[in-house]
Amino acid sequence: MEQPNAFVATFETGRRYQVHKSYIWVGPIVAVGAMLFVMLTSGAQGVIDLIIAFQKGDINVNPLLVVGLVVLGLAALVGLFTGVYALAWRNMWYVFDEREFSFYSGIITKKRVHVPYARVQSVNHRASIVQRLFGVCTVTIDSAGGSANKGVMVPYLQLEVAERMRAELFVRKAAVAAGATLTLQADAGAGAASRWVCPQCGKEGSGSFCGECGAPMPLVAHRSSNVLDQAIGDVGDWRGIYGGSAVFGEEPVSYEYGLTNHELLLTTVSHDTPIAIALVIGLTFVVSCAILILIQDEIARTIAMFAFPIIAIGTVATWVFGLLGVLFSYGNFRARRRGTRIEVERGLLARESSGIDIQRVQSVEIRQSFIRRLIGYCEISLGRIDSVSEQNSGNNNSKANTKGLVIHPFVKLDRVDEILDGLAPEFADRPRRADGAPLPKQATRRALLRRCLWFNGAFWVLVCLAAFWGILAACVNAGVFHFSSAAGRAQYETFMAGSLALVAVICVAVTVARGFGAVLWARHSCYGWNDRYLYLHNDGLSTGDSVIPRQKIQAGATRSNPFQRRLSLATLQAVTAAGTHSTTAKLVDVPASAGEAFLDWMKPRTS
Amino acid sequence: MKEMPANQLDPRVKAVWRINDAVWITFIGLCVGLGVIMPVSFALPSVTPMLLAVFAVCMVAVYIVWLVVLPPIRYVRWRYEVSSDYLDIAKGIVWRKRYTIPFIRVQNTDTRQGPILRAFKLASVTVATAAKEHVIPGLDFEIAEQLRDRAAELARLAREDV
Repeated sequence: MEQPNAFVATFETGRRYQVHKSYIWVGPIVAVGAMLFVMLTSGAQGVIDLIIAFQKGDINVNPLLVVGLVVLGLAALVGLFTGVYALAWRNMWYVFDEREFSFYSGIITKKRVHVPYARVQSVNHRASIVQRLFGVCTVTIDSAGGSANKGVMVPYLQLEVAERMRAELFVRKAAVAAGATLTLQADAGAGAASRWVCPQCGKEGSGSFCGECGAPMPLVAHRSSNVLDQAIGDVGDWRGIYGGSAVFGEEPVSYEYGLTNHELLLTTVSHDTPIAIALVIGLTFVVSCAILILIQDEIARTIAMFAFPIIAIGTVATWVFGLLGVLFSYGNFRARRRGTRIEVERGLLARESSGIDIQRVQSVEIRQSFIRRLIGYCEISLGRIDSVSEQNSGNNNSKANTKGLVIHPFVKLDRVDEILDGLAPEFADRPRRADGAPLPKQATRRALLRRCLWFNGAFWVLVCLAAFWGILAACVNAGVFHFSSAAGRAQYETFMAGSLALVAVICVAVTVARGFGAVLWARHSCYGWNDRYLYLHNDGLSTGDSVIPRQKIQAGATRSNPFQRRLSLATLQAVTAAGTHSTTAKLVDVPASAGEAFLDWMKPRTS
Repeated sequence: MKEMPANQLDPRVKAVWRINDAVWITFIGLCVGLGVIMPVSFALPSVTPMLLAVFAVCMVAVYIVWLVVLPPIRYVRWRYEVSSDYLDIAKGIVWRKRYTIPFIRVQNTDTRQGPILRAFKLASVTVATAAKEHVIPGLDFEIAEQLRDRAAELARLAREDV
């Protein structure tokens, strides 16, 4: 029987551990592959010209010689890269010291990044497709504290090592906090089965049913699975060549779920990104084709005619590929509660595993995009402090991070409580929407003005275009510009009126939509707080709910402009440390008295 | 209406603002002047005097607004108060802002001095939380030091029974 209080380490203190050797040859393969891809796509024309030149006999060299040279060159390149990566690998290691974890790297410039155990906040890992094939992954260790602190990134660790490392860091953190000493156990944790807490008697067990009272274990109760997960179940859990056997954390799992069939499918279909990308690409091409057609040139027209079907197919293909991307990224989704931590794993090909301690949750966000609002579904995510890791800073992962940790990408609104109660029971006493106070009546008129006039981009585009055409027309009337023929002038005037009408139609459509959103926002937005939580609900075409623990609000603020002051309204702002810098949750046009009450609520209660 | 925080900044801060703003306005004015007026006057020499006049009027207006009109109002609106467990700040002329920063969330407090502030024997106090920094500009150096120490002390002592 394991004693929960014994701090068992599986890494030797002070010993240098190196990352996996696959770094030496997988790294160069990926790098050279990427280079080749860029060269071939950007230089495709050159390659084709070269081949044509060969076929015509313009170049009198044996083609075999050329191919040989290319192969040799590639080999040399791979060799060079391998040498560099080998050197880098030799100079890269990590050490678990008494009080901190250090990662050393650099061939010429030596670098050492260290994190005191006490400051370790989360240990996440993600693997690209190639890495997954070999069962290695990149581990990111986040430390407390936003932009000032950089995270540590340790590349190419075997999955088994990564999982042990995560457990190790938290064990050592706990040991440091308790002032206890560690005992070393070479293969602790490896191969241990997943343990669960029985929902009825609270005993731990590992089977489908509790050994004590026979109640079904949550593993069975909540492992809602989908066709994709079942079909690729082995792929999803496949640990690759060097993955090793699964390591489970010390603490038992108390709640876990995946996505059901329709949840995964609808997540994919209702995801904004593929639609947006496909729309942008499609529109760009349609507009360029339209311009080609407008040019009264026979050849251009023919090109446009042929281009249209290709564009249609291309746009649909982009959309489908985007959908597949989303499908794969949410494939094999798992969210679970383990001890004080919430862990999320996702991804079919590239895999990502990240977790957060419940104490570190900055906010709970429940968002509905327009499509999701129509069908009554939402996305749940947890706000967290992200540290900027050095290697990661230029990566587009930062965009995903701004959304926090998504714990459910697509869930029916009435299941939100169930999921939050299972995953984060600490948030059970949060204020609900029904408890929220609505906005005052004046908010509707102000929202309409704000969204349909002042902040309505389409309206201002229309105004600018009208002014521009007006000035031009004035110039024409004043005789500054001359037309060579009356037909030319008529054509110009038709174009002017047509473009203005088109923009006006778009403007009206956008304004109506924004007006509708404004009314929804003013009618249904609400706010409220209790002892421990602030609750802000911003309604509209898409909606957002924020539940922020009072302890995580770094500063409370109200803001008012002269119009708001005249109607005794104010904007309520709560600043948290979520994201890489900070996040401000706000609600415009609460009564000024509510703003003052909020500021009073923010004052520490010490008496 | 809620009571305003009790303390005001040091009156000398108005002079600091004026100098600071004058430097910026002059710099931006020169950039605009060189960037817009020079090319235009090369292309259309006839409009140069008019353009120069308009530019001069604009500059004078901006100087008056930022150096004469705004500093006293900004000074009157800028208020702060350090209570035993939170910092209260009110500022802004058109967009009025009011902050409550509990000391329990404060991570560090500094005093800072730029060359202009130093010339007037002033300092600004920066109170940083995990999310944002809040700056109280232009306090007498002694007061700033006291405030920083007090804020640091309060931040250290602040404990909450929620």
